[in-house]
Amino acid sequence: MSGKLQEVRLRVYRYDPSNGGRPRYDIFSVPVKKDTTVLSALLYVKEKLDPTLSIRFSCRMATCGSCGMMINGLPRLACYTLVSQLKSKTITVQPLNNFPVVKDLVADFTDFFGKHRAMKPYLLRIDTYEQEKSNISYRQTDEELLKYIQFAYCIRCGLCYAACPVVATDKRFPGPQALSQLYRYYIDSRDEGGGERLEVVSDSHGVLRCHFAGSCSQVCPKGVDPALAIQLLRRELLFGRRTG
Amino acid sequence: MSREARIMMLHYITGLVIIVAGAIHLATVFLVSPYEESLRFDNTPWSVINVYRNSLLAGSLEALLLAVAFHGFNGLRVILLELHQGRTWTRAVNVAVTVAAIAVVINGTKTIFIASML
Repeated sequence: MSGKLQEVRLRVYRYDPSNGGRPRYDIFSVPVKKDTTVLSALLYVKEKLDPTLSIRFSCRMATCGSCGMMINGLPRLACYTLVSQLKSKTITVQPLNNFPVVKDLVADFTDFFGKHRAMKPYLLRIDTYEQEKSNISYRQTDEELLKYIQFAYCIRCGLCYAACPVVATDKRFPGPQALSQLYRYYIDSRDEGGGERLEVVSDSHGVLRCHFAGSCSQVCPKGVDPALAIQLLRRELLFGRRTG
Repeated sequence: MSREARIMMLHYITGLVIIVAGAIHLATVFLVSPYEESLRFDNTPWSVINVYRNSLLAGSLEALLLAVAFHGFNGLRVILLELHQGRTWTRAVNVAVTVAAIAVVINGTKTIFIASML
């Protein structure tokens, strides 16, 4: 850490469903510098003030997507959010919205990953044998790559899912992450899933339920635009596959 | 195209119909006809009853009725299905909004038909 030491108040959500307790907020004073991240501040709490605090984290560089949480009311990655950028003396941290809580700031991603898996996030080929032969490669032009590459940057951190107003009310809605990944494979020139992929999201709780609030794209830490993917997917569902 | 996609396609089309038929209706009342006359119930050219007697305008009102009934009740269906999930709930909502939409269309069509006969 570098720069002058200052102090901020961390207001941390505490809840342990296993002991039947009620949610509460604990307040900790934490010394921070200009480059202190919210994750570093929370780890300071865990190491020096309260070792019982539960947090999920891994890479500390916005690559693994483990440390997503609500920071001052917005879904953000704790490792990617500087305390100084929040411009607040009190920082409130809570588990991600729209996820069940495992403990404190740790959210349960079971449903989220289940919805992701339901989209078959891998290339579907009519001839599956050809996929298993190691000497086969699928060529792509730059244009074909550009159609899906931004959606391939998704790190499955769940921030878009936490920001989605439809997920908040409709538990069967796949959510922006799953839908953008469906589009990512649907539009991939190597994929032969076609209509089979669209069937998964064509029911009354599928892609047509998106309100286009656009909050998913606002909070994505990797610059993915799930709202765009959803609108393109909706177009595919209503008007058929676009080749241009 | 799936059933839900067809319903939503019709939802968007009826939205456009509401804009067009609604514009014709408002233009008839506020721009084409003298406003005072449009409120009258007599034999003057732009009175309420003569609007119904004009098959083109009565037709646009019927189109407006059908579009509003479908668009409005489908919108309500979408909201209700988002608020609660489950097979029984989905079936109940689908039946309830269909019955309500049909009742509104029958009642509205009856009004347009009777008025055009007067």
